Amino acid sequence: MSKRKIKYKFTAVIFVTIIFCFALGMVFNVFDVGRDFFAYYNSISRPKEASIEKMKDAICSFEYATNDNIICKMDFIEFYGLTQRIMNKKIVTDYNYGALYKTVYDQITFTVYHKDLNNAINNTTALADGLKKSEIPFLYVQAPYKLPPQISGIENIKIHQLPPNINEYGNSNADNFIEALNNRGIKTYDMRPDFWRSGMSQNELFFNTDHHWNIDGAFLATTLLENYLNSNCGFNIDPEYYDKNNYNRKTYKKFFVGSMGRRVGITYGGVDDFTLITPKFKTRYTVYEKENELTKTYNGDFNNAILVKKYIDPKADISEDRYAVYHGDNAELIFKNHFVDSGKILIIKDSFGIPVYSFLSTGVSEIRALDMRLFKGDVLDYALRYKPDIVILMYNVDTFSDIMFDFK
Amino acid sequence: MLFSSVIFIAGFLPCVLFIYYIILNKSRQAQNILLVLASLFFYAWGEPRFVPIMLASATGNWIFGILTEKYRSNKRISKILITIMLIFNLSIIFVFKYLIFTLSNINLIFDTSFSIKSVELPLGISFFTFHAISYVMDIRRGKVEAQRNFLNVVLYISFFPQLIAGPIVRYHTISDQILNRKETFEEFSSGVCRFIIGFGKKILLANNFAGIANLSFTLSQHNECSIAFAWMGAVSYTFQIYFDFSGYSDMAIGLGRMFGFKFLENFNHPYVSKSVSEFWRRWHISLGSFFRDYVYFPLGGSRVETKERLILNLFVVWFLTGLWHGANWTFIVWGLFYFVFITFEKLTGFEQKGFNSLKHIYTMILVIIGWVIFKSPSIGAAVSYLKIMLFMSGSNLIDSNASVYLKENICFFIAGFVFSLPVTQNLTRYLAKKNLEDNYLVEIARAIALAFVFLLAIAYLVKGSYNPFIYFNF
Repeated sequence: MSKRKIKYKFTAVIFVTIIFCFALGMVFNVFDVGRDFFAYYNSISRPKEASIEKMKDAICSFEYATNDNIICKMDFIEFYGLTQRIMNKKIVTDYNYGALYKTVYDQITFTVYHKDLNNAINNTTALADGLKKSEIPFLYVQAPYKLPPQISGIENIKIHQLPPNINEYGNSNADNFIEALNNRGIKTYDMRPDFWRSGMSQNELFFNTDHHWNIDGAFLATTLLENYLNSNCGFNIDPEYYDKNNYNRKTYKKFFVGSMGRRVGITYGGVDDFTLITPKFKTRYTVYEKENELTKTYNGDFNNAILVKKYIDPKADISEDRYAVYHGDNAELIFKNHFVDSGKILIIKDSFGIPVYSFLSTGVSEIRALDMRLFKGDVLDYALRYKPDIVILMYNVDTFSDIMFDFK
Repeated sequence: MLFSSVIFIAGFLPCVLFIYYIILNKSRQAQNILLVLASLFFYAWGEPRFVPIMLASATGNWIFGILTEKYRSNKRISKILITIMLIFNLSIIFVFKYLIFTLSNINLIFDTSFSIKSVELPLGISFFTFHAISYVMDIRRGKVEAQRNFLNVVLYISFFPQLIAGPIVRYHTISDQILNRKETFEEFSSGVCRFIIGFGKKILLANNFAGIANLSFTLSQHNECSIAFAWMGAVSYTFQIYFDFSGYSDMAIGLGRMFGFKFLENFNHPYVSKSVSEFWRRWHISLGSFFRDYVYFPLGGSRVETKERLILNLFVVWFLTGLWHGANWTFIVWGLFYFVFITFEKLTGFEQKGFNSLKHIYTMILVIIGWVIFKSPSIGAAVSYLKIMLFMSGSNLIDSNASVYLKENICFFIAGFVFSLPVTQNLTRYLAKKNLEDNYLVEIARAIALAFVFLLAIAYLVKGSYNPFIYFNF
């Protein structure tokens, strides 16, 4: 073989090997591709769509499924993250969010754009008015978000953490929402000032690789909420239940890559430690988990009835959603605490609520949690039948979407 | 289907290559049938509803081809046939691409109220229609024989590498290859390299520049764009459209070679040009040569008796060039913008005079201004954007967008600048001069570099970055 005939052939062999590996990988992953295809197709296809539109939906779903199941997907994302790190990029393009940003505290976050809040305000008002007629108190709790608002007393935390050209509207949306509710006479608790003035650093309060607060941040939020309920809503919860000295802390080092981290890779976003906080005191629960008319029941103490231990299994992949260990996203959850005989709370929550209702349940007799992404019933009817001592709506600043306020 | 998609790289391409080379390697006819079916599938993946339109175009032109050949010696019938063929092809493109634009302008001028439902533009309609016209015209001119086999015409018109965004492959350049091409591993390998280069250009460069360009043009419409960011946006779009379109052409040429087809080049480093005329000899060469051969020369070209006639010929060509790109006044003005400067250069003998560096700056400034007109949604928006660039809007000199996006994308700007120049050509020439071109180490280094580019582009693809193709709209 002459040297001339060598030209480009190594490249061709490598290329052909790679694309055939991809193809074989797709064949081996055929069940995953199929599962993702049907899941995505069912989420975008509408029943009365024309057949040509259904075909387009199917094509779109198949592209999504193959993209998501390409072999070595995470390795490619790591490679991508490595290049972003080498280029010292603070803005990373993202298919879903448009862009992700690395803050001055090396935390990965998205930004929230300016939102029309009218629907959220009207639906919340209707719910609060409905409850008022039956003398059930209502409280809106504004949970914080990874970027702090412009408030005094948090000199230890920088307000401007993003590249200077980036506009962020999460906190201003929340300000507007709270102001509108207050103007309509609806009780609100803006947790953000107390939360950020706690003296803890941002890295101690939020995961670096996830948009959620970490377990310490959620625990702090629970103590603030308990304090507010006792001071302003006639509750008489024993503060001992929320004294951190009465809790065990177990920190798993380099244990968690959150949803933001999975999008940019470990090389770029790093790995978080994960601290599991559980009561030292004795507890006994019955937990009902309701989903699609099926009910699962769990009995035992906090660790056995509430924690979902598969999420903190050290053998599980590092990208496992550790945060969901405090009984994650379900349409309806009921926590019955057999050691406390007063206090019934109905909480309508987003994912920030997950550890909060778990911790809060230690000091009251019953907590029920509804997630509007999954709960298909009428919230007012549910509350009138349940007759809680209070209905709490607790959302973070990114939750002003119609589905989360569709209470009917 | 996009070349720059996981489904193409991990599914479509390996399947077609496997069937083509392993299962059907003994029969050319079977291979051609496979390529036809694959091409229709490729097209249907993006636009299932428009497959019949493309097949109707192929059927009509197959018949026109046979009739044109039969009556080639009869000038009158031949002329009638060509006229009907042009009406047939241009009607298809007119209905889908220009009807709404025409009616809205008629309504505006004559205060009428013709209305029509919005018409979705079939993917690549301008390209497959021009392929079809080229097929019949080349038969009329006696350059080639008409295809008796319908599938071969469908293959020429719909062959997936060049179907959606070109290059505009002229029939006489590949007619022989449809049945008599010879696939070699050497040719296949060079096709692979070419494909990877195009793949990298598109995903690693064009997609990154797209974000900056889109943001600056959006902000300019809200008067929130500084002068520096307007320039950055215009330069980004200049890079984006080059790497996007030349990247697609590289991939098309590379894929063609993988299946034994040799397409002519479509780009030749247009941003090194020292005149606007030279730019158009290097940019979208297949479109320029199409208009030159089928419009400009038949009108008399530059060998006409009067300057006025020359100017008229140039006007027609550049008006059509602008119009071909889309049904919007911005494209027409963009075409006429080039008409003005090319006419100026022709009449003054510009290319033979002056300093090369100054001529290069002059050319690039005009090209960038041209792209601003091209990208803007309306003439008003283009004027507003140009006013910002030319310090006529009162905008700030610099803003945080300019500084942040420059800092974030400095690597891409450097790469964009470097790879706009004939770097790889010069490197290849240097290696040849040093007798290193076929050295094993050089070959391994080349393979590693290209594999790196390919895998990195896949990483960007898997990550799901912004991934449009500009020329899909034409």
